[in-house]
Amino acid sequence: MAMYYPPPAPAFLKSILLKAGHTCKTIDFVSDFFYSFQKHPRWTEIDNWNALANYQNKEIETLIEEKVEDWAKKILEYNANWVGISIFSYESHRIGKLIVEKIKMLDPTQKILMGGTGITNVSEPYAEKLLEKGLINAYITGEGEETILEFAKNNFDFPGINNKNFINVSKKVLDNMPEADYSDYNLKLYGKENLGIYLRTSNHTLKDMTETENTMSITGSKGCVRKCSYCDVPYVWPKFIHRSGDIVANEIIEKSKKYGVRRFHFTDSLVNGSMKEFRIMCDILAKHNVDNNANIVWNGQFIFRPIKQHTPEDWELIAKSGASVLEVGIESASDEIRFQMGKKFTNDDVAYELEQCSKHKITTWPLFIIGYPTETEKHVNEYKKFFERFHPYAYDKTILNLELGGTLRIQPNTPDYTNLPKMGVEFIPMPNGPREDMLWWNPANPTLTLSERIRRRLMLGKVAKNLGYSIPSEEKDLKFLWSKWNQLKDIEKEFLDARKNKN
Amino acid sequence: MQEKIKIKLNCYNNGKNFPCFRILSDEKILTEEYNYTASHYEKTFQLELSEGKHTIVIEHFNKYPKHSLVKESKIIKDVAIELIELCFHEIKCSSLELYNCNFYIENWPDKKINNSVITNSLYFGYNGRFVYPFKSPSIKYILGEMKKYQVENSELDDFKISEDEFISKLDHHTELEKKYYNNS
Repeated sequence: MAMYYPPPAPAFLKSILLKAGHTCKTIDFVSDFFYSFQKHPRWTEIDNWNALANYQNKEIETLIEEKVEDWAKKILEYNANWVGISIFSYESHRIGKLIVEKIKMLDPTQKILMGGTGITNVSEPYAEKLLEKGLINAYITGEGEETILEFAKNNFDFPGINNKNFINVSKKVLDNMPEADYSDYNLKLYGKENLGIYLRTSNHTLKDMTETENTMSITGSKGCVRKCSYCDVPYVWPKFIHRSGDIVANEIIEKSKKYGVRRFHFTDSLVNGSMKEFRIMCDILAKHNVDNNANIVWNGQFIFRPIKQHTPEDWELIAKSGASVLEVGIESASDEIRFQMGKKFTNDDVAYELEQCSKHKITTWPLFIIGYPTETEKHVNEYKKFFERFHPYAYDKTILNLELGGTLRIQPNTPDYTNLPKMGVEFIPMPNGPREDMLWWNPANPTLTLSERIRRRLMLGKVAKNLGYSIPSEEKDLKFLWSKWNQLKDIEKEFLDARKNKN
Repeated sequence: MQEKIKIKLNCYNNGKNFPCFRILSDEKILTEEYNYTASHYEKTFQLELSEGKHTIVIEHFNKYPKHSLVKESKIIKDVAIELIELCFHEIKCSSLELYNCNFYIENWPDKKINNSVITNSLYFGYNGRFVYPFKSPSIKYILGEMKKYQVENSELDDFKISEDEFISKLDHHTELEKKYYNNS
């Protein structure tokens, strides 16, 4: 887990509820978990416990259970009509279940509501099961901006309440959202971890990045302009909706003045989906930064585009607006596979974009998925060449970090989930419980087993590290993959044995 | 300790005869139904229980073998009750746990069957008592039982592995895979 910026969902929902005349209190357990255990000698295991359903360790579990019981007691002190729990991803499932159990143990009458992307788009019917068992009393899928108000009016028939028939909020709602209410948070706890990242940057960016600054989140858009094969964003947001560039820029400037914060993190799937609005936003921020010596900086997810779509003038403006760290989904080092994924840029385009970033002292954090179903040794060699080609940028910190991930998960509600089985890719059934996103096999590329995908991932991680790249999640990924391999390798073997015998 | 217990049953009849059942907590009768005509039964009981061990008993009585209408060796109509759901404070007991509870056959004319014990069935066609033992506070107990019956795949309790060690294991494993599966 990371402490880059405070979790915005509860803060937004609070402001929406307050504006409608309800009362609401938020409690930030993310920071409490982080600061309670971060210095524990077994922090990696504690952190991994969340993501790994099959990891059992009495000492770790006792620690976490005690902490979560304290949280449950704290929640119950408020005598709330409803307790809402925001589940960000599948990594929060284990702790989410634990907290509802603890609350119900202490007060079985406490009504509990769950929401978030972690219950909306996951293979496991997580919230459905908790509701069925009686551990929660309701759940909300999709975006909660409108639904929470209908829920508060006891309109449980509203789409998205206790089902997945959620509807998307409109641009009008998005443009008129009240400002997120962070008054219950200790914002000073956030952003400090950024320092750990920025301290590793070279001198030219160090000055701008190492001040003890807190970070606030900002939302400019929902959805994405691409439909990448592995990604579920278009399911949740079939249409890309963005706020006007001037509204977003002015909100940043206002928040900066109000809270004394100058670092912002975009929650968007991409900040440059609409180039028109993005240019307007950058222009206003750049002027503000230059005219007032404001030094506002921002981080966020960004898409690389084909050469010339981002002109050199664009890059100059992006830099002046305060672009600090751009998280970029490069996803594959092979043009062929990247195009299969629906990404529309080449390694030469990457070279241009990185050159511009380097020129303007903007850092990037490229994300990759290793082990796509069509990936062969040829593509693995392309990865090696890619890392060699761009490794000077690892030294000047244009590439701040790499995220190599935990190999391809075929998630529900993604194009891959629909299209790969049509190409023959098979999901390997789990003997007990729901499908596992990591467990699939492509008969057309039969040697790309789970073990081979993990082997490639770790081996390429080593290659990248030897070339000077930083991979901050490497230790966590290693433990995650070790655990998953132990959990799944025999199930895969049984499946492959049955296939061999059948043939 | 306040305990809120909800019981849901399906009730079966043969058109002439209807099930009789009672629900008890620690041998104290909570409710009694004679010739219950509806097909579903649902009731919530509020009990004040001391901390520690207790039982909920569902007793089926007043049935005779002739109430089961048989055609070609198959029961086509029956007088019986079936436990659908047992909840404590709206939290459902694990069905695996319920299936592991005993049903003690009592007052049944067939001596071979009478006084025997049935598990793995929540359909109570004989006269007798289904016993669900639990502890108060119930939620802690029920959640503990849920965990007990939860099936985990290959539990892992050791995280200690170095990158090189893991890669070497994977090298070995993938080599074997290639040899074995590519020879088919």
